[in-house]
Amino acid sequence: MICYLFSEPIYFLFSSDVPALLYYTHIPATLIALFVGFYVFWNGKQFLLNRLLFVISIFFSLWTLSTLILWTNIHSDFMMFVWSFSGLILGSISIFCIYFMYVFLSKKDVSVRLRLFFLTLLSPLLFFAPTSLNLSGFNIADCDAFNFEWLPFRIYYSLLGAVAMIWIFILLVKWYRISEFAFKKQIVLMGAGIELFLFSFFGMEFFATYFTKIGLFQDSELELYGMFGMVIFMTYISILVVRFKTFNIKLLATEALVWGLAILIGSQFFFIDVPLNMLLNAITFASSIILGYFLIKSVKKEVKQREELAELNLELNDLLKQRESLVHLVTHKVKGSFTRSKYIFAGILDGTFGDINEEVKRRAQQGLDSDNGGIDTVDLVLNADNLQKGAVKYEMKDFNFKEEVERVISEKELSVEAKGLKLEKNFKEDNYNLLGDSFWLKEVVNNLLENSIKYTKEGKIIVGLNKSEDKILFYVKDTGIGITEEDKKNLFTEGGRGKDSVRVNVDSTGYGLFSVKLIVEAHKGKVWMESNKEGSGSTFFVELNVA
Amino acid sequence: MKINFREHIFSLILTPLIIIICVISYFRFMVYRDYIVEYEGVCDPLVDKCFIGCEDDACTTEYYYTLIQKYAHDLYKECGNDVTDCEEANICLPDDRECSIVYCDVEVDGALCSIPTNGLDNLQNDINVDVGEEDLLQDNDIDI
Repeated sequence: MICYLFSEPIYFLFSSDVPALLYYTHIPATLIALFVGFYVFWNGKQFLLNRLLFVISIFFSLWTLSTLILWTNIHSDFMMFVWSFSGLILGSISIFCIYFMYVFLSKKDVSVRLRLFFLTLLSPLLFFAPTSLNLSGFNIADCDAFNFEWLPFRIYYSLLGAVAMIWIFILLVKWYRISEFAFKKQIVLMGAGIELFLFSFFGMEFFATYFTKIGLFQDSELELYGMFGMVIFMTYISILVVRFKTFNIKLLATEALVWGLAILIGSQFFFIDVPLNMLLNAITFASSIILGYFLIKSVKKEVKQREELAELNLELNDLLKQRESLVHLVTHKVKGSFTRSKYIFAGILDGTFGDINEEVKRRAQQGLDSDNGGIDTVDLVLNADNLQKGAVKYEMKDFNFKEEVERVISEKELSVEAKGLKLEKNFKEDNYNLLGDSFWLKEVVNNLLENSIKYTKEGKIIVGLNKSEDKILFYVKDTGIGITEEDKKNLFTEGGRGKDSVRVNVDSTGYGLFSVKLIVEAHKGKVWMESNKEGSGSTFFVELNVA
Repeated sequence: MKINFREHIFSLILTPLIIIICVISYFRFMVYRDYIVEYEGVCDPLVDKCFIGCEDDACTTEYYYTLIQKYAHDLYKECGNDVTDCEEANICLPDDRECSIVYCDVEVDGALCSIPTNGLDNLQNDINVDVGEEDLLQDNDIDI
């Protein structure tokens, strides 16, 4: 029997007797739901959560298809056939939403008992769907069956929607309390998405039918707005996929955005009437697909490079750790060898092994000096490594920095004289007490002065101390070889040795100034170098805080 | 391949049930047409108490109708798919399993009803011969 007051739809689903909003709400929502559901399913068929989302999107699509048929078609037999599944589809959406949330929250399947309970809840809808207790007749004048629906049946499946909302809400609250912080964010997103979907979907559907039945509305157009709930739900699902890798899928935000836009633009084809608009939409659609493809390709390339870099970084960290342990092993072995031979030479020199002639004495002294130099070098490298790792614990105490400087100068006087250099002190009278580790700050002074002696062939070295309010400025000025602009870049870096420095000092390790920098920075101070204005040589400055 | 029934209990029960329901529904509605059809039947306001309908939103043109309910299977046999211009659709036949024609009831439907012209004449006559007014307003439902 046909609804004689209405015209036959074009292409099965397109009719001029329906509100334009019908296509605008149904088609994009269905396409998005199907796309997301299928994408999630395809990328993780083995996961129950993915399969359940797919089932929900299928039931939702069946619902939208059935409502499109009921709005546009005019054959009562076919419409009755389709209408008879409405309750079953809506009830299934409710039950599968609950099932889905259980699996999402607990990350495992529900018990057999609970699954049977779900089936029990669905059973009235299953058994009564094809009977007169669901639908008994059809009005071909109005082209609907609202007045022939059995009210208890209708109330039952609408109630299932409300039950699903309350049930899911209780689950969300329960799991939110016991979950870790990272998962709490996912619970909030998923919970908001599914609750908004159920509320808009069932709420609008119920009110639309109720108001139509009591005669407040002419038709159930209000239910069309409920479809937007699915778009919101799928948006939340996409966020979960992109941000939290939920559903075990690797999806880029760009991909989700491009495909979402393509679906929205593409779905406009179903409700555009004007040919020019159709053409413009086709151009926009094609452009968005092509540009989106290249955008995704370039973003994927970038992401791949980033992932490779991250992998390389991990490998590099491993290599650094290996190198570190190797350095420690080698330096300790070397230091042990130097120490053993040092004591042998010392023993020869102090007569432990009997009387020796002058030549042997001279050679033994050379050996002892060489060993001491070797031990100093190993200590320097080890110290730099420990300082860099943060393995050094500074004992911060109040001490007189000037006294430590004086002590270093007196220790170096012999070697200064041996090189024929002149050492001058330029200390302004003041209190040079500061809070710091005297041992390591002495190492700083020692290092800078040692460098100046090594790299100064002739002339003088000036060691100075100044104080201004809460800062102490220490400097070592020499008339040495100076530092080229190129070498300045490598100063204070790990293993950074200048070309000239290697030429003058073959034992240069490149760890001395690096250690100085680490120690000074640990004391919240500053270290820097300036070339002398008056000619050759350079000045190294260290600025330290008093407190 | 062995399927674990307990693990797939949901789909193993639900899927066949849905298929069975589809088949039953198909036969009930598409093949046997086992449902009631309601539609607007022809009504003569000169004779019967008809419902008044509007041809357009502004209600510039009115039409008159009765509400008819028939068993879809019978109606299809009598008129085919389209009930318009089908004489049998407007009357209840002895072979019809379920059929009712509802006329307008002023007490229930009020202004939606038309009062038949001959009814007005009768009313005048009734007043003259002192006949009860309730006769005029009685329900004219015919059930077979």
